[in-house]
Amino acid sequence: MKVYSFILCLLICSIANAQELFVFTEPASNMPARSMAVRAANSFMYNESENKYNYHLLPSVMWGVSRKLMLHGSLFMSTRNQSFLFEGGSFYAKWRFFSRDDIHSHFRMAAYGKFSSNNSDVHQAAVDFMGHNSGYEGGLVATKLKNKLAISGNVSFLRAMDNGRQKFHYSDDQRNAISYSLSIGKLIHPKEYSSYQQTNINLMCEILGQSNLGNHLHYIDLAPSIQFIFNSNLRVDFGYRAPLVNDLRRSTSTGWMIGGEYNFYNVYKKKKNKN
Amino acid sequence: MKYIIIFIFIVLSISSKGQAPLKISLQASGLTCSMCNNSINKALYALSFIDHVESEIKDSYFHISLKKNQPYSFDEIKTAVEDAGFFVAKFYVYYEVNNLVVESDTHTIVDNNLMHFLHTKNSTLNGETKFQILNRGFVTEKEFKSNRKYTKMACYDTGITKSCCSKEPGMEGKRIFNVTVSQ
Repeated sequence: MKVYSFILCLLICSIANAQELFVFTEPASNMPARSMAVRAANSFMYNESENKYNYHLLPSVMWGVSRKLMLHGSLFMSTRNQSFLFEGGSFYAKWRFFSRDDIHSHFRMAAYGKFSSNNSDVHQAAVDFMGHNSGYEGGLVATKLKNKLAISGNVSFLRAMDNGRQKFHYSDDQRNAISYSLSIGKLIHPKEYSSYQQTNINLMCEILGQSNLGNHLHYIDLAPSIQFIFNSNLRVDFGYRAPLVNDLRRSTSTGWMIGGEYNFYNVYKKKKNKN
Repeated sequence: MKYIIIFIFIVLSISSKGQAPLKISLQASGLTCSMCNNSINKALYALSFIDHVESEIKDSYFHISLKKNQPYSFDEIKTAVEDAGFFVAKFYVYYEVNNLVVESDTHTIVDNNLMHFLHTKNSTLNGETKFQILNRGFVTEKEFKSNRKYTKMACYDTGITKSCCSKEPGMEGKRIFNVTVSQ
């Protein structure tokens, strides 16, 4: 599977045309102001030591506060401890601070921060704010879109905290980590746009890495995905991730992701300036 | 003296006041996907004075018709595109004009909008005429910088009339659109 993923990624990299609505990372662009979206991310990650798949459900609500600021609120639920349990939630904010746009192209940069609260046991040295650790993260993302080819790079600092009463039982210096990613996407259908009802199909490939600043161990995953966009407002993602480098211990590293997102535009009206 | 002539010119130009645009066409920049295009389309429809929007998804063009007898705002249209997450690269306004006298680097009122004509032949316009707005935010930043050579007036940068535009009382601090007559 890993070989097929790698070949698929090479194929995507070699052809132009892409979208930037990546499956595993956020681009620098924001959602429209005064719009909202709901997202459900379902991941099925293989736990080798227990020989089973852990199911994680992350429902999210997203809000475009302004053209530059967007907020996400997410909840974490999983079957990691046998039964399906609520484990916590996260809050994410992204501020787009740079835009250089031209016809059919843009280069944008954004800064983001995330706070995550999780009450499950701490079970891996890798820091994960998608349903495993409590803590906070701050990072930068830059995205280039040119003639439908989108490339996005991301780097962030993460610090894990105790998961409530569940202590972070690794050494204190292992609480700190750097995450990084490189994402590339390609639009494969339609060849030419003619209406909002056309289904869009995007192929994407992402490289997702983390280096722990305490133990100096790393993981680097390859994550190919396919995305369908229906009626220009419903998005359905199918992704897979598998490690290329897997020194940094994780309870699960290989698995599938199925996501759905629906956008609601102009949920409320803009306040008129009183002049 | 120059400013008095400009003011008189503006007053005389009020004859063209009251003709709402036949159509507005804009091209947005920074997008390629239909989902992004749809977000602009929805943002435009959220403006109360817009009647219909026809989208060309491939080229990111939006052709807008306005509701009759309703106040409209070019700035609100621009802001709607920006709030959707993108920018305006081209903004054209189509007016039906009758003996509209235009002169390069002078000011004229067209349908209550104070317009500063740039890079335009001195002429009298009749019939359906296409104007391109050249203010910052209505063209790409590159085009905005390139057009600066056509005027030395401060209103080009600010989009607001200053003493350079008219020394007459009441003419300072007005919204002004830098425009050119487009083919």
